[in-house]
Amino acid sequence: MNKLNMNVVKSMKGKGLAVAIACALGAMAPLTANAAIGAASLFGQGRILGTGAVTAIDGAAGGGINPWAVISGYGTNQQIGATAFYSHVLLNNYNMDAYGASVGLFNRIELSFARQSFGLGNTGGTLDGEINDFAYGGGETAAQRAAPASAILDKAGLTSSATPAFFGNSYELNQDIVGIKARLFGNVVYDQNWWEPEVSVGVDLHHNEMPKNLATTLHVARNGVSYYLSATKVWLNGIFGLTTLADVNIDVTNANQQGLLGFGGADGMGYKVLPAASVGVFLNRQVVLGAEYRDMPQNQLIASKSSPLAPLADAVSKTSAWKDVYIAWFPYKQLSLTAAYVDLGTIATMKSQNGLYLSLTSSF
Amino acid sequence: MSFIRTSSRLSAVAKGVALAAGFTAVAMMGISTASAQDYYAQYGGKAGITALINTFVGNVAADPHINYYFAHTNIPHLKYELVQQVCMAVGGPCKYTGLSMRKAHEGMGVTTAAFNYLAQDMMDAMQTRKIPMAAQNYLIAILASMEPQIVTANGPLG
Repeated sequence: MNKLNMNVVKSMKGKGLAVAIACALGAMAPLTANAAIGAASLFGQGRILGTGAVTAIDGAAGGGINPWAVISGYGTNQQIGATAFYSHVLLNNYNMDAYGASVGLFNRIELSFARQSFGLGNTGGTLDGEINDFAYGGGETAAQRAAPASAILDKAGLTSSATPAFFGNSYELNQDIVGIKARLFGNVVYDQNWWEPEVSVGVDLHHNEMPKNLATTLHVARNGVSYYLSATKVWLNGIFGLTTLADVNIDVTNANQQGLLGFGGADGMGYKVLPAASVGVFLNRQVVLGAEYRDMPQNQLIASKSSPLAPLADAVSKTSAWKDVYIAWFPYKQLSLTAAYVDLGTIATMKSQNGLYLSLTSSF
Repeated sequence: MSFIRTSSRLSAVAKGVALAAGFTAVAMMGISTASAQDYYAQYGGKAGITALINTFVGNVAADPHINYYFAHTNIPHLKYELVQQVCMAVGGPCKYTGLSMRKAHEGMGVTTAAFNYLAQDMMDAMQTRKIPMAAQNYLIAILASMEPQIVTANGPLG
Protein backbone atom coordinates (compact mmCIF):
# COMPACT_ATOMS: atom_id res chain seq x y z
CA MET A 1 0.00 0.00 0.00
CA ASN A 2 2.76 2.34 1.06
CA LYS A 3 4.74 1.45 -2.03
CA LEU A 4 1.74 2.05 -4.24
CA ASN A 5 1.30 5.49 -2.71
CA MET A 6 4.93 6.26 -3.31
CA ASN A 7 4.62 5.25 -6.91
CA VAL A 8 1.61 7.51 -7.34
CA VAL A 9 3.54 10.37 -5.77
CA LYS A 10 6.49 9.64 -8.04
CA SER A 11 4.41 9.67 -11.18
CA MET A 12 2.64 12.83 -10.00
CA LYS A 13 6.04 14.46 -9.72
CA GLY A 14 6.79 13.35 -13.27
CA LYS A 15 3.56 14.85 -14.55
CA GLY A 16 4.21 18.05 -12.65
CA LEU A 17 7.60 18.32 -14.28
CA ALA A 18 6.14 17.74 -17.72
CA VAL A 19 3.55 20.46 -17.19
CA ALA A 20 6.23 22.85 -15.89
CA ILE A 21 8.46 22.22 -18.91
CA ALA A 22 5.52 22.52 -21.28
CA CYS A 23 4.44 25.83 -19.71
CA ALA A 24 7.97 27.23 -19.83
CA LEU A 25 8.34 26.32 -23.49
CA GLY A 26 4.89 27.65 -24.25
CA ALA A 27 5.87 31.01 -22.85
CA MET A 28 8.96 31.11 -25.06
CA ALA A 29 7.45 29.70 -28.22
CA PRO A 30 6.97 32.08 -31.10
CA LEU A 31 3.40 32.77 -32.12
CA THR A 32 2.58 30.56 -35.06
CA ALA A 33 -1.04 31.55 -35.40
CA ASN A 34 -2.26 32.03 -38.92
CA ALA A 35 -5.48 31.75 -40.82
CA ALA A 36 -4.54 28.40 -42.34
CA ILE A 37 -6.97 25.52 -42.71
CA GLY A 38 -7.22 23.54 -39.51
CA ALA A 39 -4.85 25.86 -37.66
CA ALA A 40 -4.79 23.90 -34.43
CA SER A 41 -3.90 25.04 -30.95
CA LEU A 42 -0.22 25.02 -30.03
CA PHE A 43 -0.77 22.29 -27.43
CA GLY A 44 -3.05 20.13 -29.57
CA GLN A 45 -2.63 16.44 -30.32
CA GLY A 46 -2.87 16.48 -34.10
CA ARG A 47 -0.93 13.31 -34.89
CA ILE A 48 -2.46 9.88 -35.53
CA LEU A 49 -3.13 7.51 -32.61
CA GLY A 50 -0.08 5.38 -31.77
CA THR A 51 2.49 7.60 -33.56
CA GLY A 52 3.77 8.90 -30.23
CA ALA A 53 4.73 5.30 -29.39
CA VAL A 54 5.12 4.32 -25.74
CA THR A 55 7.99 5.26 -23.43
CA ALA A 56 11.24 3.29 -23.32
CA ILE A 57 12.93 2.71 -19.98
CA ASP A 58 15.35 5.59 -20.66
CA GLY A 59 12.45 8.04 -21.00
CA ALA A 60 12.48 8.42 -24.79
CA ALA A 61 9.50 7.66 -27.02
CA GLY A 62 9.93 4.11 -28.33
CA GLY A 63 9.19 0.57 -27.28
CA GLY A 64 10.02 -0.82 -23.85
CA ILE A 65 13.81 -1.05 -24.08
CA ASN A 66 14.65 0.76 -27.34
CA PRO A 67 14.04 4.40 -28.22
CA TRP A 68 12.48 4.83 -31.67
CA ALA A 69 12.83 7.62 -34.22
CA VAL A 70 9.37 9.09 -33.46
CA ILE A 71 9.02 12.23 -31.35
CA SER A 72 7.10 11.82 -28.08
CA GLY A 73 3.51 12.97 -27.68
CA TYR A 74 1.07 13.83 -30.44
CA GLY A 75 2.20 17.30 -31.49
CA THR A 76 2.42 18.00 -35.23
CA ASN A 77 5.02 20.25 -36.85
CA GLN A 78 3.01 23.20 -35.46
CA GLN A 79 2.33 21.78 -32.01
CA ILE A 80 4.01 20.96 -28.72
CA GLY A 81 3.18 17.68 -27.02
CA ALA A 82 4.18 16.24 -23.67
CA THR A 83 4.14 12.88 -21.93
CA ALA A 84 4.65 11.39 -18.48
CA PHE A 85 5.39 7.74 -17.81
CA TYR A 86 5.77 5.18 -15.08
CA SER A 87 7.21 1.70 -15.58
CA HIS A 88 7.85 -1.23 -13.30
CA VAL A 89 10.02 -4.25 -14.07
CA LEU A 90 9.79 -7.32 -11.88
CA LEU A 91 12.73 -9.69 -12.39
CA ASN A 92 13.72 -12.92 -10.61
CA ASN A 93 16.30 -11.23 -8.36
CA TYR A 94 15.76 -7.53 -8.90
CA ASN A 95 13.06 -5.00 -9.58
CA MET A 96 13.12 -1.64 -11.26
CA ASP A 97 10.97 1.46 -11.11
CA ALA A 98 11.26 4.18 -13.72
CA TYR A 99 9.32 7.36 -14.16
CA GLY A 100 9.76 10.57 -16.06
CA ALA A 101 8.41 13.03 -18.57
CA SER A 102 9.11 14.38 -22.01
CA VAL A 103 8.27 17.26 -24.30
CA GLY A 104 7.99 16.91 -28.07
CA LEU A 105 8.62 20.16 -29.94
CA PHE A 106 7.07 20.56 -33.41
CA ASN A 107 7.56 16.86 -34.22
CA ARG A 108 11.25 17.64 -34.50
CA ILE A 109 12.94 17.75 -31.06
CA GLU A 110 12.25 15.57 -28.03
CA LEU A 111 13.51 16.42 -24.53
CA SER A 112 13.10 13.72 -21.91
CA PHE A 113 13.89 12.99 -18.30
CA ALA A 114 13.79 9.64 -16.57
CA ARG A 115 14.68 8.46 -13.10
CA GLN A 116 15.39 4.76 -12.63
CA SER A 117 15.59 2.90 -9.32
CA PHE A 118 17.06 -0.56 -9.62
CA GLY A 119 16.24 -2.43 -6.40
CA LEU A 120 18.49 -5.29 -5.32
CA GLY A 121 16.06 -6.56 -2.66
CA ASN A 122 17.44 -9.61 -0.82
CA THR A 123 19.92 -10.09 -3.66
CA GLY A 124 22.12 -7.31 -2.16
CA GLY A 125 22.88 -9.54 0.83
CA THR A 126 23.62 -12.49 -1.46
CA LEU A 127 26.05 -10.38 -3.49
CA ASP A 128 27.78 -9.22 -0.30
CA GLY A 129 28.16 -12.88 0.66
CA GLU A 130 29.75 -13.72 -2.69
CA ILE A 131 32.17 -10.84 -2.49
CA ASN A 132 33.07 -11.72 1.10
CA ASP A 133 33.56 -15.40 0.28
CA PHE A 134 36.00 -14.35 -2.38
CA ALA A 135 37.65 -11.69 -0.23
CA TYR A 136 38.17 -13.93 2.77
CA GLY A 137 39.46 -16.78 0.68
CA GLY A 138 38.18 -19.17 3.35
CA GLY A 139 39.62 -17.19 6.27
CA GLU A 140 37.57 -15.20 8.71
CA THR A 141 39.62 -12.17 9.65
CA ALA A 142 41.21 -9.34 7.73
CA ALA A 143 44.62 -10.94 8.23
CA GLN A 144 43.45 -14.12 6.49
CA ARG A 145 42.05 -12.41 3.39
CA ALA A 146 43.56 -13.15 0.06
CA ALA A 147 45.87 -10.27 -0.80
CA PRO A 148 44.21 -9.20 -4.10
CA ALA A 149 40.79 -9.24 -2.49
CA SER A 150 42.04 -7.06 0.34
CA ALA A 151 43.02 -4.58 -2.31
CA ILE A 152 39.38 -4.33 -3.42
CA LEU A 153 38.16 -3.84 0.10
CA ASP A 154 40.88 -1.26 0.75
CA LYS A 155 39.74 0.74 -2.25
CA ALA A 156 36.17 0.53 -1.06
CA GLY A 157 37.21 1.67 2.41
CA LEU A 158 35.77 -1.50 3.92
CA THR A 159 38.89 -3.20 5.30
CA SER A 160 38.19 -2.14 8.85
CA SER A 161 34.92 -4.05 9.17
CA ALA A 162 35.04 -7.78 9.82
CA THR A 163 32.31 -8.61 7.31
CA PRO A 164 32.17 -5.77 4.79
CA ALA A 165 28.74 -5.10 3.31
CA PHE A 166 28.54 -3.28 0.00
CA PHE A 167 24.81 -3.47 -0.38
CA GLY A 168 22.94 -5.05 2.50
CA ASN A 169 19.27 -5.66 1.87
CA SER A 170 16.90 -3.32 -0.01
CA TYR A 171 19.77 -1.51 -1.74
CA GLU A 172 18.78 0.73 -4.66
CA LEU A 173 20.93 1.84 -7.57
CA ASN A 174 19.46 5.12 -8.80
CA GLN A 175 20.07 6.79 -12.10
CA ASP A 176 18.85 9.99 -13.77
CA ILE A 177 18.79 10.25 -17.56
CA VAL A 178 18.29 13.41 -19.58
CA GLY A 179 17.64 12.65 -23.23
CA ILE A 180 17.64 14.79 -26.34
CA LYS A 181 16.39 13.38 -29.63
CA ALA A 182 16.23 15.16 -32.97
CA ARG A 183 14.31 13.89 -35.99
CA LEU A 184 16.55 14.24 -39.02
CA PHE A 185 14.15 13.24 -41.81
CA GLY A 186 11.29 10.98 -42.78
CA ASN A 187 7.82 10.33 -41.43
CA VAL A 188 6.52 6.96 -40.27
CA VAL A 189 3.00 7.61 -41.58
CA TYR A 190 3.39 9.57 -44.82
CA ASP A 191 6.39 7.81 -46.39
CA GLN A 192 4.40 4.89 -47.79
CA ASN A 193 5.42 4.75 -51.45
CA TRP A 194 9.14 4.39 -50.91
CA TRP A 195 11.70 2.88 -48.58
CA GLU A 196 12.68 5.93 -46.54
CA PRO A 197 12.30 5.43 -42.77
CA GLU A 198 11.94 8.14 -40.13
CA VAL A 199 15.44 8.74 -38.78
CA SER A 200 16.44 10.43 -35.55
CA VAL A 201 19.62 10.87 -33.56
CA GLY A 202 19.63 10.88 -29.76
CA VAL A 203 21.91 11.64 -26.83
CA ASP A 204 21.35 10.36 -23.29
CA LEU A 205 23.15 12.06 -20.39
CA HIS A 206 23.27 9.67 -17.43
CA HIS A 207 24.04 10.36 -13.81
CA ASN A 208 24.29 7.29 -11.60
CA GLU A 209 24.00 7.99 -7.88
CA MET A 210 25.98 4.95 -6.68
CA PRO A 211 28.37 5.78 -3.82
CA LYS A 212 31.90 6.68 -4.78
CA ASN A 213 33.43 3.63 -3.08
CA LEU A 214 31.18 1.29 -5.06
CA ALA A 215 32.11 3.04 -8.32
CA THR A 216 35.80 2.78 -7.42
CA THR A 217 35.43 -0.90 -6.60
CA LEU A 218 33.56 -1.64 -9.82
CA HIS A 219 36.13 0.48 -11.68
CA VAL A 220 33.38 2.47 -13.42
CA ALA A 221 32.48 6.11 -13.89
CA ARG A 222 29.21 7.39 -12.45
CA ASN A 223 28.45 9.84 -15.25
CA GLY A 224 28.12 8.78 -18.83
CA VAL A 225 26.88 9.90 -22.22
CA SER A 226 25.44 7.47 -24.74
CA TYR A 227 24.36 8.08 -28.31
CA TYR A 228 22.01 6.38 -30.73
CA LEU A 229 20.85 6.59 -34.30
CA SER A 230 17.33 5.28 -34.79
CA ALA A 231 15.56 4.38 -38.03
CA THR A 232 11.88 3.49 -37.76
CA LYS A 233 9.78 2.32 -40.70
CA VAL A 234 6.04 1.73 -40.65
CA TRP A 235 4.17 0.01 -43.44
CA LEU A 236 0.52 0.97 -42.93
CA ASN A 237 -0.43 -1.84 -45.27
CA GLY A 238 2.23 -4.27 -44.06
CA ILE A 239 2.32 -7.95 -43.27
CA PHE A 240 -1.05 -9.66 -43.89
CA GLY A 241 -2.36 -6.14 -44.59
CA LEU A 242 -1.72 -5.16 -40.96
CA THR A 243 0.22 -2.03 -40.03
CA THR A 244 3.78 -3.22 -39.40
CA LEU A 245 6.68 -1.48 -37.71
CA ALA A 246 10.41 -2.18 -37.84
CA ASP A 247 13.04 -0.20 -36.01
CA VAL A 248 16.80 -0.53 -36.20
CA ASN A 249 19.08 1.40 -33.85
CA ILE A 250 22.80 1.81 -33.61
CA ASP A 251 23.88 2.46 -30.02
CA VAL A 252 27.23 4.07 -29.29
CA THR A 253 27.77 3.53 -25.60
CA ASN A 254 29.98 2.41 -22.75
CA ALA A 255 27.08 2.02 -20.31
CA ASN A 256 26.95 -1.12 -18.16
CA GLN A 257 23.38 -2.44 -18.06
CA GLN A 258 22.23 0.90 -19.55
CA GLY A 259 24.23 2.78 -16.90
CA LEU A 260 22.69 1.09 -13.85
CA LEU A 261 26.18 -0.33 -13.15
CA GLY A 262 28.01 2.80 -14.29
CA PHE A 263 30.14 3.43 -17.36
CA GLY A 264 33.31 1.88 -18.75
CA GLY A 265 35.40 -0.58 -16.76
CA ALA A 266 38.84 -1.70 -15.71
CA ASP A 267 40.03 -1.81 -19.32
CA GLY A 268 39.04 1.76 -20.06
CA MET A 269 36.10 3.92 -21.08
CA GLY A 270 36.04 2.83 -24.73
CA TYR A 271 32.73 3.16 -26.57
CA LYS A 272 31.16 0.22 -28.39
CA VAL A 273 28.96 0.40 -31.47
CA LEU A 274 26.07 -2.00 -30.91
CA PRO A 275 22.87 -2.99 -32.71
CA ALA A 276 19.33 -2.87 -31.38
CA ALA A 277 16.05 -3.63 -33.11
CA SER A 278 12.31 -3.64 -32.53
CA VAL A 279 9.37 -4.96 -34.52
CA GLY A 280 5.65 -4.56 -34.06
CA VAL A 281 2.38 -5.46 -35.74
CA PHE A 282 -0.83 -3.49 -35.15
CA LEU A 283 -3.58 -6.07 -34.71
CA ASN A 284 -6.04 -3.17 -34.98
CA ARG A 285 -5.77 0.63 -34.55
CA GLN A 286 -5.25 0.31 -30.79
CA VAL A 287 -3.26 -2.84 -30.08
CA VAL A 288 0.30 -3.57 -31.18
CA LEU A 289 2.19 -6.79 -30.58
CA GLY A 290 5.95 -6.93 -30.95
CA ALA A 291 9.44 -7.82 -29.81
CA GLU A 292 12.69 -6.04 -29.10
CA TYR A 293 16.40 -6.72 -28.84
CA ARG A 294 19.15 -4.47 -27.49
CA ASP A 295 22.79 -5.47 -27.31
CA MET A 296 24.88 -4.32 -24.34
CA PRO A 297 28.62 -3.64 -24.08
CA GLN A 298 30.60 -6.25 -22.18
CA ASN A 299 32.93 -4.13 -20.04
CA GLN A 300 35.27 -5.71 -17.54
CA LEU A 301 34.16 -4.50 -14.09
CA ILE A 302 36.29 -4.57 -10.90
CA ALA A 303 39.51 -5.79 -12.54
CA SER A 304 40.92 -6.66 -15.93
CA LYS A 305 41.00 -10.22 -17.25
CA SER A 306 44.70 -10.64 -16.47
CA SER A 307 44.24 -9.69 -12.82
CA PRO A 308 44.21 -12.32 -10.03
CA LEU A 309 40.70 -11.02 -9.30
CA ALA A 310 39.50 -12.19 -12.72
CA PRO A 311 37.14 -14.95 -11.44
CA LEU A 312 35.13 -12.46 -9.36
CA ALA A 313 35.48 -9.73 -11.98
CA ASP A 314 34.25 -12.00 -14.79
CA ALA A 315 31.23 -13.08 -12.78
CA VAL A 316 30.20 -9.51 -11.95
CA SER A 317 30.90 -8.27 -15.49
CA LYS A 318 28.79 -10.84 -17.36
CA THR A 319 26.23 -8.87 -19.38
CA SER A 320 23.56 -10.14 -21.77
CA ALA A 321 21.58 -8.51 -24.53
CA TRP A 322 18.17 -7.23 -23.39
CA LYS A 323 15.10 -8.71 -25.07
CA ASP A 324 11.35 -8.50 -24.73
CA VAL A 325 8.03 -9.41 -26.28
CA TYR A 326 5.41 -6.73 -25.70
CA ILE A 327 1.79 -5.83 -26.20
CA ALA A 328 0.79 -2.17 -26.11
CA TRP A 329 -2.71 -0.77 -26.00
CA PHE A 330 -3.66 2.75 -27.07
CA PRO A 331 -7.29 3.20 -25.95
CA TYR A 332 -6.95 6.91 -26.80
CA LYS A 333 -4.21 9.49 -27.31
CA GLN A 334 -4.08 10.46 -23.64
CA LEU A 335 -3.16 6.96 -22.46
CA SER A 336 -1.16 3.90 -23.41
CA LEU A 337 -0.56 0.74 -21.42
CA THR A 338 2.22 -1.72 -22.18
CA ALA A 339 2.84 -5.18 -20.80
CA ALA A 340 5.93 -7.18 -21.71
CA TYR A 341 7.87 -10.27 -20.89
CA VAL A 342 11.48 -9.12 -20.58
CA ASP A 343 14.66 -11.18 -20.57
CA LEU A 344 17.66 -9.16 -19.41
CA GLY A 345 19.94 -12.19 -19.04
CA THR A 346 22.66 -12.05 -16.40
CA ILE A 347 22.91 -8.96 -14.18
CA ALA A 348 25.60 -8.68 -11.46
CA THR A 349 26.21 -12.46 -11.23
CA MET A 350 22.48 -13.29 -11.17
CA LYS A 351 21.45 -15.39 -14.18
CA SER A 352 18.06 -15.54 -15.93
CA GLN A 353 16.80 -12.08 -15.05
CA ASN A 354 13.47 -12.36 -16.81
CA GLY A 355 10.06 -11.24 -15.74
CA LEU A 356 7.19 -8.85 -16.17
CA TYR A 357 7.33 -5.28 -17.44
CA LEU A 358 4.38 -2.93 -17.04
CA SER A 359 4.31 0.63 -18.28
CA LEU A 360 1.89 3.52 -18.53
CA THR A 361 2.33 6.62 -20.66
CA SER A 362 0.06 9.62 -20.48
CA SER A 363 0.11 12.17 -23.31
CA PHE A 364 -1.01 15.78 -23.18
CA MET B 1 27.83 -29.78 -28.72
CA SER B 2 28.15 -26.21 -27.61
CA PHE B 3 25.94 -25.17 -30.52
CA ILE B 4 23.21 -27.54 -29.39
CA ARG B 5 23.46 -26.19 -25.90
CA THR B 6 23.21 -22.64 -27.16
CA SER B 7 20.16 -23.29 -29.27
CA SER B 8 18.37 -25.16 -26.53
CA ARG B 9 18.99 -22.15 -24.35
CA LEU B 10 17.39 -19.81 -26.87
CA SER B 11 14.62 -18.18 -24.92
CA ALA B 12 11.05 -17.77 -26.07
CA VAL B 13 11.83 -14.09 -26.51
CA ALA B 14 14.67 -14.80 -28.94
CA LYS B 15 12.39 -17.06 -30.96
CA GLY B 16 9.73 -14.36 -30.94
CA VAL B 17 12.22 -11.80 -32.20
CA ALA B 18 13.38 -14.13 -34.96
CA LEU B 19 9.82 -14.92 -36.01
CA ALA B 20 8.77 -11.28 -36.01
CA ALA B 21 11.91 -10.31 -37.93
CA GLY B 22 11.06 -12.96 -40.51
CA PHE B 23 7.54 -11.62 -40.86
CA THR B 24 8.90 -8.12 -41.28
CA ALA B 25 11.33 -9.29 -43.95
CA VAL B 26 8.40 -10.73 -45.89
CA ALA B 27 6.49 -7.46 -45.48
CA MET B 28 9.53 -5.52 -46.71
CA MET B 29 9.68 -7.60 -49.86
CA GLY B 30 6.28 -6.19 -50.66
CA ILE B 31 4.46 -9.49 -50.88
CA SER B 32 0.80 -8.58 -50.58
CA THR B 33 -1.92 -11.04 -49.79
CA ALA B 34 -4.71 -9.53 -51.89
CA SER B 35 -5.01 -7.66 -55.18
CA ALA B 36 -6.80 -4.35 -55.65
CA GLN B 37 -9.72 -6.25 -57.24
CA ASP B 38 -10.29 -8.20 -54.00
CA TYR B 39 -10.38 -4.94 -52.06
CA TYR B 40 -13.12 -3.49 -54.26
CA ALA B 41 -15.27 -6.48 -53.29
CA GLN B 42 -14.34 -6.11 -49.62
CA TYR B 43 -15.55 -2.50 -49.74
CA GLY B 44 -18.90 -3.81 -50.94
CA GLY B 45 -18.55 -2.50 -54.49
CA LYS B 46 -19.95 0.84 -55.57
CA ALA B 47 -22.87 0.65 -53.09
CA GLY B 48 -20.54 -0.11 -50.17
CA ILE B 49 -18.20 2.73 -51.12
CA THR B 50 -21.13 5.16 -51.42
CA ALA B 51 -22.31 4.15 -47.93
CA LEU B 52 -18.74 4.53 -46.61
CA ILE B 53 -18.41 8.04 -48.06
CA ASN B 54 -21.78 9.04 -46.58
CA THR B 55 -20.60 7.92 -43.15
CA PHE B 56 -17.22 9.60 -43.66
CA VAL B 57 -18.68 12.96 -44.70
CA GLY B 58 -21.03 12.70 -41.71
CA ASN B 59 -18.01 12.17 -39.43
CA VAL B 60 -16.22 15.17 -40.94
CA ALA B 61 -19.31 17.35 -40.52
CA ALA B 62 -19.38 16.38 -36.83
CA ASP B 63 -15.63 16.90 -36.31
CA PRO B 64 -15.01 20.30 -34.68
CA HIS B 65 -11.32 20.19 -35.64
CA ILE B 66 -12.05 20.45 -39.36
CA ASN B 67 -15.79 20.79 -40.13
CA TYR B 68 -15.74 24.59 -40.47
CA TYR B 69 -13.48 24.21 -43.50
CA PHE B 70 -16.29 22.47 -45.40
CA ALA B 71 -18.95 25.06 -44.50
CA HIS B 72 -19.17 26.37 -48.09
CA THR B 73 -18.42 23.12 -49.87
CA ASN B 74 -20.84 21.61 -52.41
CA ILE B 75 -21.40 18.38 -50.41
CA PRO B 76 -23.15 16.26 -53.10
CA HIS B 77 -20.34 17.06 -55.54
CA LEU B 78 -17.69 16.31 -52.89
CA LYS B 79 -19.31 12.95 -52.15
CA TYR B 80 -19.46 12.09 -55.87
CA GLU B 81 -15.76 12.90 -56.33
CA LEU B 82 -14.79 10.93 -53.21
CA VAL B 83 -16.76 7.85 -54.30
CA GLN B 84 -15.09 7.96 -57.73
CA GLN B 85 -11.66 8.42 -56.17
CA VAL B 86 -12.01 5.64 -53.58
CA CYS B 87 -13.65 3.28 -56.09
CA MET B 88 -10.73 3.76 -58.48
CA ALA B 89 -8.12 3.46 -55.69
CA VAL B 90 -9.44 0.08 -54.52
CA GLY B 91 -9.51 -1.32 -58.05
CA GLY B 92 -13.16 -0.66 -58.96
CA PRO B 93 -14.45 0.19 -62.47
CA CYS B 94 -14.52 3.94 -61.88
CA LYS B 95 -12.49 6.87 -63.12
CA TYR B 96 -11.69 9.90 -60.99
CA THR B 97 -11.67 12.94 -63.26
CA GLY B 98 -11.47 15.71 -60.64
CA LEU B 99 -8.53 17.93 -59.81
CA SER B 100 -5.18 16.52 -58.74
CA MET B 101 -4.72 16.53 -54.98
CA ARG B 102 -2.06 19.23 -55.25
CA LYS B 103 -4.28 21.44 -57.41
CA ALA B 104 -7.39 20.87 -55.26
CA HIS B 105 -5.64 22.01 -52.06
CA GLU B 106 -3.42 24.72 -53.49
CA GLY B 107 -3.14 27.90 -51.44
CA MET B 108 -5.28 26.55 -48.61
CA GLY B 109 -2.40 26.11 -46.17
CA VAL B 110 -3.80 22.77 -45.00
CA THR B 111 -2.13 21.72 -41.73
CA THR B 112 -0.81 18.31 -40.78
CA ALA B 113 -3.31 18.24 -37.91
CA ALA B 114 -6.26 18.88 -40.27
CA PHE B 115 -5.05 16.15 -42.61
CA ASN B 116 -4.73 13.71 -39.71
CA TYR B 117 -8.16 14.49 -38.26
CA LEU B 118 -9.66 13.83 -41.70
CA ALA B 119 -7.75 10.54 -41.93
CA GLN B 120 -9.03 9.64 -38.47
CA ASP B 121 -12.62 10.37 -39.61
CA MET B 122 -12.06 8.01 -42.56
CA MET B 123 -10.67 5.27 -40.29
CA ASP B 124 -13.67 5.66 -37.99
CA ALA B 125 -16.05 5.45 -40.97
CA MET B 126 -14.36 2.27 -42.21
CA GLN B 127 -14.69 0.80 -38.73
CA THR B 128 -18.39 1.71 -38.64
CA ARG B 129 -18.84 0.10 -42.08
CA LYS B 130 -16.95 -3.01 -40.89
CA ILE B 131 -14.42 -2.93 -43.73
CA PRO B 132 -11.82 -5.69 -43.15
CA MET B 133 -8.59 -4.35 -41.59
CA ALA B 134 -6.31 -5.18 -44.54
CA ALA B 135 -8.71 -3.45 -46.96
CA GLN B 136 -8.81 -0.42 -44.64
CA ASN B 137 -5.02 -0.26 -44.51
CA TYR B 138 -4.74 -0.54 -48.30
CA LEU B 139 -6.74 2.67 -48.71
CA ILE B 140 -5.20 4.45 -45.69
CA ALA B 141 -1.71 3.82 -47.08
CA ILE B 142 -2.77 5.48 -50.37
CA LEU B 143 -4.30 8.41 -48.47
CA ALA B 144 -1.19 8.80 -46.27
CA SER B 145 1.09 8.96 -49.29
CA MET B 146 -0.93 11.96 -50.58
CA GLU B 147 0.10 14.06 -47.56
CA PRO B 148 2.94 15.94 -49.34
CA GLN B 149 0.47 17.06 -52.06
CA ILE B 150 -2.23 18.17 -49.60
CA VAL B 151 -0.44 19.58 -46.53
CA THR B 152 1.44 22.80 -47.26
CA ALA B 153 1.56 24.53 -43.84
CA ASN B 154 5.02 24.41 -42.30
CA GLY B 155 5.87 24.53 -38.62
CA PRO B 156 8.65 26.53 -36.91
CA LEU B 157 11.10 23.63 -37.42
CA GLY B 158 9.96 22.48 -40.85
